[in-house]
Amino acid sequence: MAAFSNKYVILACRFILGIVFILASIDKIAAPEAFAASIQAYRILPLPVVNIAALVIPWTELICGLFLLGGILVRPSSFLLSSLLMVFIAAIFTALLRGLKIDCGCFGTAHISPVSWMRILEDIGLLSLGVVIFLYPLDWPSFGRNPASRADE
Amino acid sequence: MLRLEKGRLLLEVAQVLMLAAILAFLYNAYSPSGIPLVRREPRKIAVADSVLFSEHATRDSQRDVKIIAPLHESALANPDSMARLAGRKSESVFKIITLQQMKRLLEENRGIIIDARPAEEYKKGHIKGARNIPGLEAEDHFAELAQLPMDTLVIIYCNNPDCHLGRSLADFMNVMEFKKLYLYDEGWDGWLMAKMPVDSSNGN
Repeated sequence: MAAFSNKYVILACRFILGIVFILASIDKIAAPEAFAASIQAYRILPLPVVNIAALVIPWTELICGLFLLGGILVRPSSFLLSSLLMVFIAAIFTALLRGLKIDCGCFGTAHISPVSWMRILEDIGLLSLGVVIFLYPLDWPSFGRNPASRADE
Repeated sequence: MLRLEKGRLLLEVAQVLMLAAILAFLYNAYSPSGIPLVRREPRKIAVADSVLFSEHATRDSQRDVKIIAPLHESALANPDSMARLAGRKSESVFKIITLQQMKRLLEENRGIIIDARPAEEYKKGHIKGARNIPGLEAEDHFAELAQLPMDTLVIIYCNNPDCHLGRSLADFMNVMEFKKLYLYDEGWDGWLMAKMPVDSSNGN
């Protein structure tokens, strides 16, 4: 496990996860109606709260992605992104089990890709990055004050 | 010590979430593509044959071919405003037609049929005679749509009643002031189930 605490490894994890989530968020922020329709198609959330989720999820992705890149609040950001990934995995998994033929909505509607086991594998890969960052929340180099995670080292 | 750590993590998580929520709602309030905070079921109503197949409607459409509504003209100059209006629409009423009505429209060669699914799906197969305008790319087809008389009988379909692409396109065309917009709600799935004539040529 020592390799995972190497600061360059963690920096790479933060970089990859951050970039992926920033890219994923942009199209969803630009076209909230389309993302809301994607969420609705999963038939998991009750209809009245679908739009709230469609608004808050992309901004959470964007902010946490930026924070990971900038070394700001690394631990809570990785916690939130990992939680989101677990929700996505569960949502895609149940959609596949229910035989729903829907777009995954993963990267908004600019890159349409149906729900598939491949999407789940991708999300598991990203989740593992999130977990590594969460366990070793190194905030170097940082653009913010993070007294907390320094104390852990 | 461990409890303290957990408490701080949760507090920070809540702070980040709050920040995201505040930015999301602020951005949504001022964004041209903003959406209502509470989502509602689309309202759908059935259409009587007498309305759909009335001779009167046919005569009207021939008489008014050249008339273009004023909003439509100003919108031509500024397609962005159309998208804004279409995106803002929160409660539309969609007129739904049945398979039987759809069949008869085809037989009598009335109206135009638009497939609102993505181009890849359209290419794999579509209702005979349908043209393709993917619901999310309606704006790109603005010029094409603007050439049609506003009282053209338009039937839009998507995959099934859950599919939002047909409704997006109908919303857009409604703002363009198309008067006779109908959704064949059972869509491609229903069409296949009923073993109706399909076409897999790429012609638009």
